[in-house]
Amino acid sequence: MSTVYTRRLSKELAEIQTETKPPIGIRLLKADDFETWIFEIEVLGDSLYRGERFGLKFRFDNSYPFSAPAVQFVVDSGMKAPVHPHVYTNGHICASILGDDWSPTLSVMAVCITIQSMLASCKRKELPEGNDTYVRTAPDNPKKTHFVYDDDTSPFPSNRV
Amino acid sequence: MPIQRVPTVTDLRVKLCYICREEEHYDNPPDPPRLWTHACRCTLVAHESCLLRWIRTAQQDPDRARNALKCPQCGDSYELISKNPPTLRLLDAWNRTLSRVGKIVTVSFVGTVILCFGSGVYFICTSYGAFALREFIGQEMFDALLTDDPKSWPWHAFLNLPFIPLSLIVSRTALWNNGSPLIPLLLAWPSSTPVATARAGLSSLALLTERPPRWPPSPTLVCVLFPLVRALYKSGMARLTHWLMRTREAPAAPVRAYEWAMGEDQPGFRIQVNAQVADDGAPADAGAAAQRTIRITGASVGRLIGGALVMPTIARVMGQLLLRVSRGLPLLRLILAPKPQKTLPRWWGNAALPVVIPEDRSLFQNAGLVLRLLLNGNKVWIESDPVWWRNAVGLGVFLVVKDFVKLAHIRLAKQELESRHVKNKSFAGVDLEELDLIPPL
Repeated sequence: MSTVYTRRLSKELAEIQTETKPPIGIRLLKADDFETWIFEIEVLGDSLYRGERFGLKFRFDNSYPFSAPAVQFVVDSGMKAPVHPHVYTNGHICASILGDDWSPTLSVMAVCITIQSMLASCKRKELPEGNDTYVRTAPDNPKKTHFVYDDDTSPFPSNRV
Repeated sequence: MPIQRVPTVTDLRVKLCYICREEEHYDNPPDPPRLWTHACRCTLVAHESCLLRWIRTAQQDPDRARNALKCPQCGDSYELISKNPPTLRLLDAWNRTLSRVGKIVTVSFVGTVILCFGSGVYFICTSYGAFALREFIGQEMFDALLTDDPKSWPWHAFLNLPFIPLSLIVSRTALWNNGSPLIPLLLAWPSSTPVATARAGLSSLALLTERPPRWPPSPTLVCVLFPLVRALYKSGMARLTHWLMRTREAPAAPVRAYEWAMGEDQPGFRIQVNAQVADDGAPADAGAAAQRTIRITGASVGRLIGGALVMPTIARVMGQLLLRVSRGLPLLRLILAPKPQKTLPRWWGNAALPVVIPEDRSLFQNAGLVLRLLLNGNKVWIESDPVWWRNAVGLGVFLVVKDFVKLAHIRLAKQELESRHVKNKSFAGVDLEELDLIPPL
């Protein structure tokens, strides 16, 4: 019997692939299973990230959609995370909708669009405060990090034990 | 005309669960039917089971709990109707109380462990302090002031005694150069009320003496003068060392580093000698660096602590030695001022003791009396054999002798280094063909 999570993900996948095409700049790269999906994100128009392409990786488990998926930028030999005050160089993203403000009304595509607009509205390309320390001690899964979203410019992450 | 009725979730043609995204058409209900709910003021509807699971999941995370009962779209509060009988509320309250009690138990358990450890350390330090004090002031005085039974000890003993080992150890390190190890060992005791006096219900003030003797000096004076004497001695000793070793007097280099080398017992002594004999007195850099690094080895820690803790015993042995030697040396006898050793009479425990102090004295007078008592000590202390004095002098003699022995050691080591030559050997055993020898004439 398929669970809520796989049924909902198959609906979202169907929407992305056939019914309503994703917005410009967002392209599905890989969705072979219900564990890991990868999108390509590109910021079009006038922005600091003109011409750059990023990979956005979603990891799901059966707590979806009751709990947010684990979302991060792909960092490997071919791809890099964007330089952004809320994005660490290991690809982890500090965004409240991926943590405390997640709700089931959101979806995979809604997350993609939010991240895309987060990049589009960026004023200054700079790394988050304490990037090195965070990257050194960060857990593999960004959901295990306890981000504090108390202000717009400087997130203060701490590892949840 | 049909009555205008506000529609509810059951009136929707198509219901779409905002959580699992599944649809249900009014004319095609699943079997078994599923319950739907519209819990807020906007258009979102959901399966009741989905919404309950969402609320439960969100409530489990303390950071998300604030959003658990709010519609993510319109922000309206969800209202839950549930069986919450008084019994459940009582059990919940009971559970919360137990959690709180559990926390208290944990804290008190940790506290007890710390307390046990602390009191163990305290007990050991106090026991050693009592031992050291007995060594230092002599058995007789110890029996008068403390006795072997801690129940009859004065209150300040429990503060002073545990500090004795600590101050002895600390005074041997560079941490507390000007402190006097004598303070907990000597300062409080001359004015301490003897056990028998306290038993008779009298304070030490009753034992105030009219004319304190000039000699030996009062313990308070000794405590005050000790740092001064020590500083003078140290600078004199440093000068003597420099003169003997023919090194220039340099301002003491600050200690740069403490280096832990437990288990490695290489004494830094030779390095220091090397540094001092390096070309015309100017210490070579490596040597100077070695001097400024204090190597803390297992042996050095043991020497430090052991050396500190054995001092009271050394003082007693030296005191006895001095007393024996003084039998043939009138001048030494004058200095040590021993009194015939006898069992102290118990008169100070007598309630009929002639009290020399006025009964109704002012606060000012009282303070003066206490000060006098602190400065001179009480009658019992003054009239008994000054074991503490000869022990203190003995310890001083010992320390001076020790320093001179160390100095001699350094000097001999220096001479050994300076007199080094490499022994020449003949070419016995070497093939003479291989040597390019001066042709014989």
